[in-house]
Amino acid sequence: MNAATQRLTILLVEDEPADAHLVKTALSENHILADLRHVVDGRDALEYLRRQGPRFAGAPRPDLILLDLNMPRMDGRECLSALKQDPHLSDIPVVVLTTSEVERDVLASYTLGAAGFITKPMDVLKFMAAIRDLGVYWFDLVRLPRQE
Amino acid sequence: MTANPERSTAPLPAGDSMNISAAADSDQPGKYGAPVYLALIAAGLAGNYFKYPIFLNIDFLFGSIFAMLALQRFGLGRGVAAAAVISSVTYYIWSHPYAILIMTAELAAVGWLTGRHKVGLVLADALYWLFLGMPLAYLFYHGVMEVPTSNTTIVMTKQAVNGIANALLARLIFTAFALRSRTALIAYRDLIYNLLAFFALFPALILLMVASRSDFTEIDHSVRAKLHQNSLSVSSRLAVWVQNRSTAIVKLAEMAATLPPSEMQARLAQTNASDVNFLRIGLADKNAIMIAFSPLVDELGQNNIGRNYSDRPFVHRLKQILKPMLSEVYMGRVGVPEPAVNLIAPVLIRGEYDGYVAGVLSLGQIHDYLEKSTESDTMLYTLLDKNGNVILSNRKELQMMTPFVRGAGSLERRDNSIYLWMPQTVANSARAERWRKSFYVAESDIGNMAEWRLVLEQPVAPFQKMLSDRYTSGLTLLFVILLAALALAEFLSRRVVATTEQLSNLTQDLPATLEAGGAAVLPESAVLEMNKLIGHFKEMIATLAAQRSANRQLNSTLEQRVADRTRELELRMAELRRSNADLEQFAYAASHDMRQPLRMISSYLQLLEADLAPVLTEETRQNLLFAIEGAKRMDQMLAALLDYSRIGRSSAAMAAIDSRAIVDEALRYLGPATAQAGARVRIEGEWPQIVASRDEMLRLFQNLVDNALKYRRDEGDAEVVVTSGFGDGEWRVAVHDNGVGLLPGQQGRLFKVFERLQPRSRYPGTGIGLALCRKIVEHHNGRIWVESAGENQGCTFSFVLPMSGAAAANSDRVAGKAVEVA
Amino acid sequence: MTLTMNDKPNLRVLIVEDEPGDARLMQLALRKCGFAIEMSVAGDGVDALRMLRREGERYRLAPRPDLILLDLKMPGQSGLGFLEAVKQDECLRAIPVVIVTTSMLDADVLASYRAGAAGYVPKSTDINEFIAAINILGQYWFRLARLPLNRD
Repeated sequence: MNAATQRLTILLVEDEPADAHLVKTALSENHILADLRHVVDGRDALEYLRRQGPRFAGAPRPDLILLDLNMPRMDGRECLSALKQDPHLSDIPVVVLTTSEVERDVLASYTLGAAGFITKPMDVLKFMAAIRDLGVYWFDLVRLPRQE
Repeated sequence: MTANPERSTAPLPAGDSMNISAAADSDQPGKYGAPVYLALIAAGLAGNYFKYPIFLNIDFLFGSIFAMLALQRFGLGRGVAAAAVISSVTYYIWSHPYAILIMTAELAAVGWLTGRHKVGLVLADALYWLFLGMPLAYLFYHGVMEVPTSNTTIVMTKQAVNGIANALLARLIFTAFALRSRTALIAYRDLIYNLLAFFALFPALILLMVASRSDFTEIDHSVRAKLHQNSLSVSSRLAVWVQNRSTAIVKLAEMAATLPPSEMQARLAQTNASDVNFLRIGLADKNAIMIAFSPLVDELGQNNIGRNYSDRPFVHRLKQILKPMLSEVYMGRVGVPEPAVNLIAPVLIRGEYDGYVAGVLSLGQIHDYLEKSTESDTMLYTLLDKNGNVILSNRKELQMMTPFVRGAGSLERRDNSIYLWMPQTVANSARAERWRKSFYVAESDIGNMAEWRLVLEQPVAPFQKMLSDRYTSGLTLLFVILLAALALAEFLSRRVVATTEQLSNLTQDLPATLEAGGAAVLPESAVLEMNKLIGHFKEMIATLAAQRSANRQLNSTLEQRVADRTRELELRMAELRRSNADLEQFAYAASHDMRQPLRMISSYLQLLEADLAPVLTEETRQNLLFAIEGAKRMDQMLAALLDYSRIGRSSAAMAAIDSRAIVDEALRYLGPATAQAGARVRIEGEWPQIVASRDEMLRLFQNLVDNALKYRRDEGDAEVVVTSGFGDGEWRVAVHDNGVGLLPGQQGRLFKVFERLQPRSRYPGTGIGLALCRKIVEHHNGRIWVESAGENQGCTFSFVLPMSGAAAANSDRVAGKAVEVA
Repeated sequence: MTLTMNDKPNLRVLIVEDEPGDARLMQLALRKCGFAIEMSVAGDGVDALRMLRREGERYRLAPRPDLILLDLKMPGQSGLGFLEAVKQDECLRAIPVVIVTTSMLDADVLASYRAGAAGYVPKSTDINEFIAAINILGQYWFRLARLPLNRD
């Protein structure tokens, strides 16, 4: 079981602090032992991933990125596109976790290379379940690319 | 001053290679330094004090021998100091300080030349005397002390010869000492040079000294003899002359006893006229009044008869002695007053004094005679009366009737009748000079009663000059001989050792020359021993060259063989690598590909079992289960094989890792298994930084600990201790359990692939875990083994891996903390 | 065979797998988990691409899948090649591809994600484990995630 033995890192790109907190809570409720890192927009996300600037100098490389779409400065789509085009970062699976349920967004996300599109459930219990299922898939079932 | 000891094989410097003893730094005399130094000074003082006079008070000193020895032994500073002290004796014996200066300068110059310029001792000394010593001596002796040139020359030459001879002696003594005690290396050439010079110089010197000494003695003796002879003959001749006059006067005195004065007058006149030696003759009565006189009248026209001479002291004396006698010098009254001497005889009538006859002597004859006698020998004569007043002398400063005075001086008796008069010592004047002003003196008495004294003096000066001229030429000749001997010695000594030096130069770099392929050209020699030696060298060189080429031959053969062998090996290695790769590829492919159909079997059997569950009997179900089991097991084995074959391939990246972190991680993985076993796992010891494959190390620890947990005993608590230690380039780990242990003889089987010691029913597993461990350990160039005390007494699995120096150095020494992993 | 469990139209899954035994197992597992999906199978990458592009008479009417389950070890064009081809095709790249394979090699995992895989699921030898894995997979893709529905 991966998560229990290896501490995985999740990068949450989410501008709403409430949502971020919710994700954190959901993870802990589901006993998913992951190191959750939080940035507020796409630009920060890229800086984080490229370990640019004093803030992100020693930032651990995430095993999974949870990406919100609608964000200031650089939104999720741009960020996703940039990620998947960067050969150093393209192998990190990105799951879009957003409020949007627009078909166009879904298609666009997958076209850009997302490895999942999850509409945040309104219901908190469903949200918890969603995070659970997310964790089970990514951390229990699937093999993730090894960190260097 | 330190000269380099002759340890190198560089060609010897010019001259007779002075080698200052290796032990002699100018600052550090040898072990016996101070006493030896003082002894040398004492000897030097004695050597100067007990000088050897070679001639005319010219002395040969020995002090500088010891000063030179001090120079060679103790260096420049101490040598010069010793010379100064030793030569101070010369002030005492020669009464001037210039010899001290010259001798001290000698040591300083010699020390400087031998030290800085590597000139030989003897040569340096010769150079000093030629260019500095002799000019200095000339300056001091002739210039300052005003010794005449001839004397100065002899002194200069003597000092030079003395100095060089002493230097030679000093060098030979030092050489002998150094050769005996091996405190310094002496050049062969130096030795020969010195010996040649010695055997040329010293015999000549000794001959010269002996000859000159005997020469001197002989001449001295002959001069004195001659003087004596002269003295005798002259004095006897004078005595005869006196006697003759005495006879005449005595005869007249006898006649005066019987004849009247008038008769005597004629006799007086007759005698006066017939003997030119009488100036005038007079007959006096017993009152000392002249009663007869010839001539009657003096040149002033005064009548000589009636003159009263009673005041003359000789009259009074005559009355007492009543014998014919010579008078002292007195001032005459007849004519123009001038000094006179006379011969008087008493007139005796029946033995009673009745007057006297006096004849005033003309000293012309004597004067002429004396002149003639002493002329050729430059002798000085002085005729003295009994008062010591001069009658006659050819000493220029002496007047008649003045006392005879020579000046301050001393009179030494030489033999029976000859004395040596030497002037008093004047400060800062040479002894020889004093000697030059000396005289040999012979004295004899004239007259029956020794009223007169004849002093004959032979000045030393011309004699000295003659001698010194002779000795100068002798010494100069000796000096020339010496220089010639030195030059010849230089030449000969070089010639003698030339061949040896050639040989030495040749063999200096012989191996390198031969190596570079150069030929060794040996010198030729007509000297028997050298010839033999050269012959031996030739043989040796030939042998060396032959061996060299044999070696080269062998080397090239060896190299060829090695190259061939290496090629062979490389081919084999390539083969082996290929075959290994093949095998691994095979193992990997086989195990991987074989798993696929196996999975089919296993999966569908399981599905069947599930789907057919309602219709299966217990037995048929069991059948199915066994089939499933078999398939599963096979898959496990294949998976294990796959793992095993992967070791050293994909997951094998070596990196510097923290061994403690690895073992901790392995134990984390085994957390559930540990809990299930109810076991305690402890980590102990010091865990270093190692260079290894992280995955493989993890696997290794997992397997070992899993094994320890698996094979626990049924009863009691299972306990596993993992210990680590490192040092001496090794990392040692032991995994100890208190489980079922091993029977003796089982160890060998443990590490084989699929080998199991316990039934599968009790202990699950493929039996590849330990083989995997072995492969991992061997992949890291280590070794692994197991020890067990016996059944149910647990096992200790140990492995050792080499650690690189860097890894060892970087290891943090963690204090041995025991960690419990529950 | 379609089992409707909700109002949504059935999701379509393309299984790209050369071993018929494995393909069957996959289908069995998916069915056992109770997912209402339509499954199609392609035996190799070339065939799969034709199917996706509706090339040739056979595939003219082939339905576009919503999810592709891909085995890596395939003869001819390897699974990775197929994945790359799909992700480079404008029309096809939006379809998520999940690797289901026996290979556990890190290199394969990394290469797959780099090429755009949306998951890498190791095939277990144990059938029950396999079914459980398929269940989780199905939960994620069929229940949790939204898939682009291109029904054309």
